[in-house]
Amino acid sequence: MLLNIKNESNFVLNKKTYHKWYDIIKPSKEDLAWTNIPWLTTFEAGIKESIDQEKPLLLWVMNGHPLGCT
Amino acid sequence: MSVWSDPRIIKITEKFIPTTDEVYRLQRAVDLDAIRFQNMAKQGHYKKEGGTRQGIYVCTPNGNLLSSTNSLNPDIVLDVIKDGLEKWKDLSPAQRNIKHARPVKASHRWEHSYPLGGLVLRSSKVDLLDDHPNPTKKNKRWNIDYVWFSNEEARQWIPDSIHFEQVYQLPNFIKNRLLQFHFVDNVIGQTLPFTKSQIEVSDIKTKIIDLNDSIVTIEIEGYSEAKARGAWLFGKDWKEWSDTKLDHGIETTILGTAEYSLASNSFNKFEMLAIGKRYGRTKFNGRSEIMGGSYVGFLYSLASNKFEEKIAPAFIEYYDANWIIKPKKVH
Repeated sequence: MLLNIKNESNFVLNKKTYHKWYDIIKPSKEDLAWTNIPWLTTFEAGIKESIDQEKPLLLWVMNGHPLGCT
Repeated sequence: MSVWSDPRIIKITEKFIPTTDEVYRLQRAVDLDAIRFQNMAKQGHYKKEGGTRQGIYVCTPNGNLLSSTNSLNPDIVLDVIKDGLEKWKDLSPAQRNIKHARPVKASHRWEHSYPLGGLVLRSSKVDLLDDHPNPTKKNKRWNIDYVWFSNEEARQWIPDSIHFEQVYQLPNFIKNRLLQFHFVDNVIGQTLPFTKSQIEVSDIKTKIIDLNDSIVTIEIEGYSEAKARGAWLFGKDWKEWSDTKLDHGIETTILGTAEYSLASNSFNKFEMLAIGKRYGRTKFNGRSEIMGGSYVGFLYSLASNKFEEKIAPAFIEYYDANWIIKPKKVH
């Protein structure tokens, strides 16, 4: 991660800078590409669906829910 | 999340039931789903008893492991998924054992406490790398977070008696929840919440800027400072962290607007932005590279009520809220 911070006063959040920061922080379409995968949110639900659809499970697990706070 | 943004991986997931879950509970609980996971995961990439079981697993519904890895490299992950798929194809119907596979039910999940009719916020959290920010030059790693308030708690974002231009300091429980659990540096990895005593400055006010029939529009403005030094002060269950000496903190400036309907007792709109200046690290939040001050951005808005957005906040067990259903037995 490379920082390019020369002037900390540029990090001010006020009504004037609000939209600038909003555009930076809001996830882009590219950021959200992973949401094109129809993730189920629990192993329990995945097992049930895997049985119903006779498909293998692809399970992604992390400390902190992968679709929430990791 | 770059692995799962790779078009090759998105495509191959069509052959599977793509599923996510939080591993801490799965690797410790004694529920049937957790036991099935534990039996499978101990054959996986860690190849040893104990320790974290984070990663990606391809398996049958009965929990027979086909392949696994823990990698952020899309090429490695794709190979592992393909390997699992090939093994699945090679299994006979008897080996897949679908007919005898049994669903399993978790007796307790934090999601069972989802605050229907309450205020559920979804956040995006990103590193702000440049003092001349450009949306096309963003760090690819970012994070999502959810905040839960019950219906009754959500109402307390608005004062009892409502007047135009009224300024209202938010109740401590709202500020604490935001500052302890959510305005934290978990942009690139899970971090620890602050305790109440570690919140040094907590000033978040709302101002009523419009009143129209039953709709109250508020402006949100705030500043906070939180610092953790020394021992981990929360629960003893988190052995991984109990021996850690902490030295990290964050100060945030907060700004936003929201619209609350007194008729439906709910928020119609909510948008809250914050810029945080962080320092230090916790064990798993990926900050060994930059310990000194750097900036992070937070954007909170209303979550939808789709099931994929009903994810329990991290460390919800430490929320100061009596409507959260606790497990009968602590795992």
